Amino acid sequence: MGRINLKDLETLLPGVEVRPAGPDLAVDGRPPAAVAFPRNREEVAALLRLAWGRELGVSPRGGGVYTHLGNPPRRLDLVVVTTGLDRVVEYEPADLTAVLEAGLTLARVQEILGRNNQFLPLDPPCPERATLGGILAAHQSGPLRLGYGTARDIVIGIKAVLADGTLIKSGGKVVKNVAGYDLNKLFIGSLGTVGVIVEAAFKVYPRPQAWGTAVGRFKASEAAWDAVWRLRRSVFEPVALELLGGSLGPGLSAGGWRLYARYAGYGPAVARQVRETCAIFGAAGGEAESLPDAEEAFWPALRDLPVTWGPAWGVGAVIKAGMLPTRVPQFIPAAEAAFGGRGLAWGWVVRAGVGLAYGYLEAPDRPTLAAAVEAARAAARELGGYLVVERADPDLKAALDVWGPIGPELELMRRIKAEFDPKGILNPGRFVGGI
Amino acid sequence: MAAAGNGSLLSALQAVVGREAVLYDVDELTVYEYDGALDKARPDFVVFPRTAEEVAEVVRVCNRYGVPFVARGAGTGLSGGAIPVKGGVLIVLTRMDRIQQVNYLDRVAVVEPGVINLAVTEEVAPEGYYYAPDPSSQKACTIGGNVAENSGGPHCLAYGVTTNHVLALDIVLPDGTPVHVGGPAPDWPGYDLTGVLTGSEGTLAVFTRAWLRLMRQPEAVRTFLAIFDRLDDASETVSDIIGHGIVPAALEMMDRLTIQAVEPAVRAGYPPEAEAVLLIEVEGLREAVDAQSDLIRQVCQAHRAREIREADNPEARERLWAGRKGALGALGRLAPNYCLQDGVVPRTKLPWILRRVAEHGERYGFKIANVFHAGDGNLHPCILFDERAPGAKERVLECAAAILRDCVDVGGSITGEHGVGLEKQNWMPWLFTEADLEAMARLKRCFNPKDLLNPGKVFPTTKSCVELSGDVLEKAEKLGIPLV
Repeated sequence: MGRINLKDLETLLPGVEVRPAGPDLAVDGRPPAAVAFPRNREEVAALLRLAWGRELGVSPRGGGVYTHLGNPPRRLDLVVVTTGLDRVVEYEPADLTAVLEAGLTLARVQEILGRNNQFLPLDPPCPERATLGGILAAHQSGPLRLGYGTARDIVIGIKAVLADGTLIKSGGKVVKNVAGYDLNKLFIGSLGTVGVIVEAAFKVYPRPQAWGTAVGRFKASEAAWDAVWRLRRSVFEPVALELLGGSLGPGLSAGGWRLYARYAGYGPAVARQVRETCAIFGAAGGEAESLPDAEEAFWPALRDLPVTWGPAWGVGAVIKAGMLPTRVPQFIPAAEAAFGGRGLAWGWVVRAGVGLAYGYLEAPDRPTLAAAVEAARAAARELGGYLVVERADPDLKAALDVWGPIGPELELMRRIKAEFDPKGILNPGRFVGGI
Repeated sequence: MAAAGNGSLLSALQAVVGREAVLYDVDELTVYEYDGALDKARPDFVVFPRTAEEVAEVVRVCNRYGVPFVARGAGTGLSGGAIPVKGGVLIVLTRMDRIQQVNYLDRVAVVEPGVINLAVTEEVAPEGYYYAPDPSSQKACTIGGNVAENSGGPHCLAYGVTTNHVLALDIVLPDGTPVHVGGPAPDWPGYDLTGVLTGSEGTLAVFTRAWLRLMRQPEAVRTFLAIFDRLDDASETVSDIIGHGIVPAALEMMDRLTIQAVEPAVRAGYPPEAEAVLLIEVEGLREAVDAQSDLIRQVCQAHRAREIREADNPEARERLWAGRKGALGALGRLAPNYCLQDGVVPRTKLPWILRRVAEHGERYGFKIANVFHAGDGNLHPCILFDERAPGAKERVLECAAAILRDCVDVGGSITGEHGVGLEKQNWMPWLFTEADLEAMARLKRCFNPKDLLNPGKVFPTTKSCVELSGDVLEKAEKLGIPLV
């Protein structure tokens, strides 16, 4: 810290808006010295060249929706806010592709594509604020990933500014392209540690004609999982399949387990799938019904929960455990044993067809919560999975390992970081293994 | 490679995989000097490991002797990815051909790299599942090669290419270290190594195991053959189907020359006098499939389709597809050689690029057959020629370059699914700046810093394009690289 001087920045980068940063831009309680608002990729490049020369710790930021992810930064001098990069570079509806600047919010993009009855099939939390760049860097997704995949499946090109200020691109704007290494995959999910994404090209999709949701209420988790597997072996293809249980806050909490299957596509096909899904849920022992108003209320609330949720008492954390879908029914009771014995309250949102379990935890104090998380992590690892902490306050982060242990592949990841950002200026320390 | 020291390299390789699993006789090596592309180069040794441990040990031996090595599956690649341009050891993975595990509820298959693509679908079909990426060579090509090249296929229009279906990999790094990358659990923490390895054309690591995503067979499938008297009508039909918000499972096109080659060979029932046919497949829930089928018929008719046939049983469907999948083999009947290209354009540029392909064919004096994944904008112009004619090969590559240059000029790519390999490496600067290529080189250094694994691929050489069109052996001699 202390390497940054606002006057210098203003002199060296005339025209780029740079300000002292307020506490609202702190990352895990660590405030940066300055914040810059570039309006185009050249300004991003100029900022990074300067930061590179002076070895400033830089944190790229879009809407600031996912800044709770990762370890606290080792160093933070400059936050680069990309929301000024908000142009639609190219959008040809008949090609089903769009080239978009990284600072556009997802909601804005959906509005633009919606005029041609198209959309991006991504539903990460808080699309009104979340930018494309943030969604890609944090690899955020939502319930729809069961049907449509994640950003890695629909991004066909990326432009990024590397740590030293070099502008590079990967891929292109056509839907099939194997020219060169697929660096798109490197940037997606890298949490801003290898470059700042300034533009991305996407496959876009025709908007489904109809949506429908079936819900089943189950007293026992065994019956709910039986319903999951019956549905997965059928020819029906829900675009989302979410199993909810426990305490999730107002509007989403209820007794027992609730299984939501969401369908999209041709109206009559959606209607039959909702009907038949209710029958499948019933056969598995649930009380099932169609939820015609789920699009307006339930799905947006569930989508946003990882960001909007807060503990009603004590200290809170949001955890994400990943494993093969059939292992989740073993993981949940093991984790609950670790939670119950320590006086925690908890709720689950399980992406049942995908193999992700999001846990919303409340605990009397931080050491108890940290111990419970570690015990749940051990259960996940035992089942061939992992557990990361998505949200925790800075004091809790100090008491636990956000990412958990990474295998021997960490060595490859360190080499990547060393090649792309040898001075370690981009989000230093926040990623796996302290990268 | 210097002859001295080979004796001990041979015995070191034999010690790892056994005497019967190493080839070094020149006659036997000749079989392994080419793949599905034009270039050739002979390896010094071919080894057939049976386990990941043997692969790792072979790689360590190569490191010890400082010899280059290249991994190879069935050798059906179309960009020279498995050609050992600098000689050395060719690691052929076809004996690692076990499907190790299939898990239907999780929709995952765990396979060795030598498993044949179609074998995965055949294994899981009785339970109602399939593996989506289906390259035309799927009866022969291996999963390891598919992952290396990020292979596509007709059904990738709706379901994505190989990279969308690989969940995790076991790899052997070029220094001989075995590593597991990815899940198969989703969103495995850290950089997406599985993602960057897929499509790395065998230049970053040797794959020894892959976790593949399986898909549920759809309830209903309908396959149509739409017959056109004008090529433009067919390509505009493609744009219009997509424009109507329909993404069929497959949307393939073949032109007159292709049809004329295919019919006598495969007897798929394509009318030989048609200018173009579209093979259109829709699948999913039966209500949706019926509705899409009606719309597709209307669009085809609006673009003056002469006839629309529907395959109404599995055998008829199989026969329509046999024509498409057998097209390349059949084209071999029309000329002694062909050069198959793999350009991509934005879908709306299809009618334009097809006219340009015809113009280039006329200008260079070649017949060009077109068979391609129209729905993706991925064209496969197939330039027919006779390599015995003086200068033919050079002119063919110039013609191919002209076509691909057009693709790039309208925002497309020089390769949609075949890879850059040897053939297109010097065209990479059309797409990428030096900074872009340097970023890729950084990634390569992370995995393959000594460049012993599959050297001489993907990145541009210092040679010009025209020189590239020469024979690899001649090139190698000029460069002072001993191949034999």
